[in-house]
Amino acid sequence: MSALQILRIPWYAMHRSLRWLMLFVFLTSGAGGIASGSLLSDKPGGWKPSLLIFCIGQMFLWVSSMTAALRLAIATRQWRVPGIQSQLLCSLLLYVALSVSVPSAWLAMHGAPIGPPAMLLFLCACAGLVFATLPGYLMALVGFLPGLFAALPAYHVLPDVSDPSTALPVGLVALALLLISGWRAQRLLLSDVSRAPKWSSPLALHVGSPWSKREVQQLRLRPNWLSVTPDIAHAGPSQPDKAIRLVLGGLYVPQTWKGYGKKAATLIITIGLPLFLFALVQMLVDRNTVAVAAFLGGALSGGTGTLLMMAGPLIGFVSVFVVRMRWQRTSAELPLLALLPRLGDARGTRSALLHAGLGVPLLMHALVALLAGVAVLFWQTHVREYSFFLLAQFGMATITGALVVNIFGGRALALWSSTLLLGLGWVLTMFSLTLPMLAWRLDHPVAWAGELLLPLALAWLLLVLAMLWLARRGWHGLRQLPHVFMASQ
Amino acid sequence: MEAVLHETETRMAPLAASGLIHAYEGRNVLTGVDLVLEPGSVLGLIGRNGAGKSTLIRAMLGLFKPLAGTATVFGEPALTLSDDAKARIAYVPQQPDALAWLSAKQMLDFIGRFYPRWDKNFAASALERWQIQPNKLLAKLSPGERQRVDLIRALASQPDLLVLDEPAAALDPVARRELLREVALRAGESGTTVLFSTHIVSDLERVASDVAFLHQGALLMRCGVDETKERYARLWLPGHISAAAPAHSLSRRHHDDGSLSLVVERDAQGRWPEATTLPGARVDALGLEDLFVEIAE
Repeated sequence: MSALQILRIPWYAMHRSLRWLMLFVFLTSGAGGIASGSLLSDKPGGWKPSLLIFCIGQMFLWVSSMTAALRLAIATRQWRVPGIQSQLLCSLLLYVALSVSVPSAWLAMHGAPIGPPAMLLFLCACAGLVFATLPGYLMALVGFLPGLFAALPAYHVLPDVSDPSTALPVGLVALALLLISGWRAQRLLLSDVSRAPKWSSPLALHVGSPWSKREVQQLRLRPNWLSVTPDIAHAGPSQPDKAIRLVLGGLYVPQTWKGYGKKAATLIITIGLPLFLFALVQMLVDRNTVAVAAFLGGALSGGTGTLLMMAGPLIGFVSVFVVRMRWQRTSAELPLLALLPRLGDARGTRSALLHAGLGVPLLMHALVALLAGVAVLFWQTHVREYSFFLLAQFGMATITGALVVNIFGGRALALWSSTLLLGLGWVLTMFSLTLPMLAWRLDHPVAWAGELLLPLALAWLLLVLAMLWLARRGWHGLRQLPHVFMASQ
Repeated sequence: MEAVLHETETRMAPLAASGLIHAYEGRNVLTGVDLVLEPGSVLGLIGRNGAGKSTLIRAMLGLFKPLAGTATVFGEPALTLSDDAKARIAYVPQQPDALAWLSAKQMLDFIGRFYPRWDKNFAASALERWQIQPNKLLAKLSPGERQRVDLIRALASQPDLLVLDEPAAALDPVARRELLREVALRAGESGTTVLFSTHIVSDLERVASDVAFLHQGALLMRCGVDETKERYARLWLPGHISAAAPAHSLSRRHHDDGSLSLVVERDAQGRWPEATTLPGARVDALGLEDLFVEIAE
């Protein structure tokens, strides 16, 4: 096999949607890192933000690449195709080497030392490999990382990436992760993969099937204590919007108060218990309450920051994909809704559909904005920073609304363009949280961050205007349909 | 006069399609289909995979807008059905996957609220009879159990028109037999009109009063199930007289030895085509399955 073919393996091994998403994240993180490094080239340690951006991209790249590689390895083993395993391994090693050496060399050209950044990038690649092979639910741990990084400096001195002595411990941790991922991958290859994946199966076995099948698979695998508790009371002709929400499924399903309580309790226990145990152990060992309080404070601020950064885009992604799935599955919920009597006349059904389809995500965006308001009061942050966050939530809400209305109107955007729009919203949301902080909150405000705020606001404005135009297009389509639950075939 | 009568019949028919044309991804799926279901009839729609059966059913129910043609349900345009018409229809799609996040009991309870004639007792007893755990999530049921729950959903609404798209695909033989019995019972006792698509010819023979063959998006034939043996036959002509084959036939197959096989139909006076009388020509009676294979191959 030629070097070119080895280079092509991950690309062909990936599902089409994942392939483009990976390319988008890879290019965004690459461009973001290069832009940041170029802007800060005259500052001491100006390469550090670039390294951080490269590391995030690296993690994502290796979670997706390992997932695709594992699926291919499992499939080729099932089909008894000879020789693929070794070529896959060659391809993975080659890409690990490239993904570490190229950004390290670029960073070195911008004043970074060679060793520690290279080892850190290697660590991120190995962390990605491990996440792809460990049980899927451990992916939730990714959400803890920002909180952990925010909390740890209060308690432990984190190694400095400028210090050459950092390279060895980081490299050793990376090697340990590499060994774990290799061991897990080997076990997966030798296990009975013909059986349906379990809840505890790694991410690699859950992805790859169509979204609609994956949804049913997830519902089937989920333990009973984690399943949703739908509130079907009054969902019927008297409350058509509630009935439609019940049929739309996913985040739209109305749940009982007990169900919401169960969800909240699960979330609190999942997040709170590890923090509580960690703090308890530290209290027992050190009895240093100040450090523990600082640790918990750091975890809270880091966790809230992550939540605020991710919540808006996630609401958009999930709502759009749920509605998209319903309108794609032509022999499931859509015909059921189309032939369901007593949902109201054409106008009433249209309004119930819009109420159900837009109400839930918009309410969730509003709740995130409210949570941010509480965070502003708690940390006594400036209102002007909050205004950028509100702008981001409003922008994400218009993207969500426009995409959903276009699906309802039979004018759904192609998957890649929906993903691109939501991805763009996510990038702007990240900038809306970080740039005001850099410009106003630091002891030494970053001048260029302040200069970028106006273009950021203008970018949001343009995006919102484009989304309003898009929503109008969807609304026109919706009004022209003979009935609103029409499949586009 | 006949045309007026036909028009009235079509207008009052539980389900009717006229000149349905549809295509997607550059392929013709329906090529001008006309089909009318008489009240109380059980029509089996048969055809190969990809023949367009599901598309035809979905177009007739107004679930999407075809490129051309019209469909009516109880005389109303299928694309703008009233609540009254909807309450009289039950449709079970192929591989029903809907509402996987609800339990069977929750789904039936929820759906039942929309139907004025919902038979709660039937739903409960059918769940019990078919040994389906009512509180188990639909996602966690086997494909056969899912199909049965959806059939219960359809039958409990006591429809006047029951449309089933390959209803027996995931059922075991016992459940299939029970379903057919239920369909025959509904049609016989309540006068329910039934349209069902299938590959299983024996199911069709057991329950259908009429059969329609759909092939490559076109309705090749439609007749009573009992009539098929009388009305259609395979005509085999040896090579030296194959040129005398009738111009019109339902299928035509040339063999390597020059001979020709055709599926022919009696004319309005009940006569076979002239070629059947030629010396050397052979006429074979065809069972429903053979007829299907001859036409579809």
